[in-house]
Amino acid sequence: MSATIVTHDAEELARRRYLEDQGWSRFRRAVRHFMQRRPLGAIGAAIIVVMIFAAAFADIVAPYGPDEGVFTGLPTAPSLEHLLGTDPFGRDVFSRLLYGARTALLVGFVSSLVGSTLGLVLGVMGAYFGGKIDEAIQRFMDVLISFPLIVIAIAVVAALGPGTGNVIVAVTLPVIPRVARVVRASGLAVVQMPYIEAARSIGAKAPRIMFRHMVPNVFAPFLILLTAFLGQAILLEASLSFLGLGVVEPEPSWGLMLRGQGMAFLDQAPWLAIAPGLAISLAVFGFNLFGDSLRDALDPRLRTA
Amino acid sequence: MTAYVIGRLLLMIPTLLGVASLTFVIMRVVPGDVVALRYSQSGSAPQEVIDRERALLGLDRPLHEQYLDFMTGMLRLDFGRSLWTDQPVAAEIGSRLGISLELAVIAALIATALAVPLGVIAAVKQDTWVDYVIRVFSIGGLAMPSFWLGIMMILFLVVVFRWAPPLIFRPIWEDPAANLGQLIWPALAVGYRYSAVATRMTRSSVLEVLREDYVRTARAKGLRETLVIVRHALRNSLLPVITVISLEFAFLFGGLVVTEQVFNVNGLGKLIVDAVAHRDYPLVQALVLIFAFVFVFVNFVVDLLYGVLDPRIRYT
Repeated sequence: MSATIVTHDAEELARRRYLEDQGWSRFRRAVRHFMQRRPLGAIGAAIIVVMIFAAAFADIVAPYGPDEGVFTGLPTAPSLEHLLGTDPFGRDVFSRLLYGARTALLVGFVSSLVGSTLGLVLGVMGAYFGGKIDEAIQRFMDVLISFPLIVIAIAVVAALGPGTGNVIVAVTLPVIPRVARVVRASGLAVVQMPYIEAARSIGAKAPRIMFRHMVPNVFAPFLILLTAFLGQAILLEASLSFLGLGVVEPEPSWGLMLRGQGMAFLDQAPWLAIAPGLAISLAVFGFNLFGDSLRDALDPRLRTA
Repeated sequence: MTAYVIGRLLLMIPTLLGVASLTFVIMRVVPGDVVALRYSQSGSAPQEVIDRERALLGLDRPLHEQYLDFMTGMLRLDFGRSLWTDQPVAAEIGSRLGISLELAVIAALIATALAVPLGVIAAVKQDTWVDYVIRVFSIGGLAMPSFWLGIMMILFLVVVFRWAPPLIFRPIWEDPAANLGQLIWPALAVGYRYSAVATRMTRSSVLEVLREDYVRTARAKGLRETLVIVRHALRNSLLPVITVISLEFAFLFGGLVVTEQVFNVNGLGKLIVDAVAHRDYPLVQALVLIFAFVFVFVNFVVDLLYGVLDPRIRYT
């Protein structure tokens, strides 16, 4: 068959239009609906899109490289050449902000995705098996949740050394128990459903029931928690890097920019501290707005405080 | 009820034992120990000196003996001496615990004082500009890192008042005014985020209650609107608000590290960063246990409060 068949068959055309309607344009309609019904969520989504764009095309958009510059020992004020001035290493602050979006998004997405998925698996397992297994998982989650976050971070960094990969580990760990608890609670209701019993009675194995029948039914709370933790993860990365327990120089990170030069030149060059903080706030603001609207759209009863 | 309380208290034990054991394991896995760190500062020392120091501190003993020692000491609430300063751990923690606790309590007071009225107003004026302003204020509080807010406050104070972060801490019983003057800024910095969480919860909780039948009844029988809001709506919506305020308190207590760093407050947060850096095992273990205990205990109190505040909830 050749690739270019022109059909004049009305039935065939209708079928194609129907198929198209199911795919891309259906998605577009859903997006338009979301934007009209939830303007705040749309603003959040717009901030996220801009951030992803900045991270993806930093090489093209940024006027300077992240490490480009001559050491001067003193920051310079914002000018036309350097929109937000330069730091004492002569590096362009605006360019470093754009590259910093990469670090923030990388840590945010990877750690909330991995953490939530592990939490999902543990939560569903606890709800499905019950009994001893559930008890064991729950006690372990109790320990993990009452462990102060900062100690986990300090220990991870002390054991593995600072760096982006280890920050991701440190930020992932606290997400796991929080997701596992909520998923388990929803899972306990799902386990009682007749379709689980039906699946069991036709001889489906435990993994199949858990992943084909339970996971899809606890997916709404999972998705909501995932977006909620995205913003939290970005905030955490910034805090850890600010403490010197996270991303290390010369890697561009918003928290790190606040730490060194931001604090040292606070009264002479306040923009060094203002700009990265605004970037963090805006990013978290965007994810929170989007997450809130998603929660309202998917499940108005569920709240993540 | 008594059985429930005892059951819950017993359930705290495995969690705390788990936390203690995990801390023990993590700290021994982390490379380096206190002796090596001390001598790495003053150049190298002969191996036998290092060995002697280790033996003196008991670090050369088999791990299971050290673990048993730590666990039995914990049961007697005796955490030993700091490996770095040789002071008793209880003394090291004692003075700082007060500072962190005071900071957390002031922040909680600020948060509650802001959150309850703001949340109620936002709910009553739902979808008006008042509501929008309050919501943006609270979403902003969630987004802003509290340490950055702290930096901005310092910047403002330095520029406007020529203020400088204090070098010496004054306890509240010595000089209450100076003490408050020092702690109010870090408390405001963390209190803003705290209040944001609580405001959102108050708003949604009051909104839910305002739809209840008994609120309509109260209005129908001609009660004044303020009475309807305060006596009927607010009172019945307080449960989730109290929950959030308490749970956030537990989180906050373990998360003061960064703010203490910014404001140069000598609390538990700074202590634990140093303790881990020095591989001061007894101090780290005691501190983690304190944080975990506060967390577990607050959770327990919240569960009990449910029964006290809402007579419909019965414990079996």
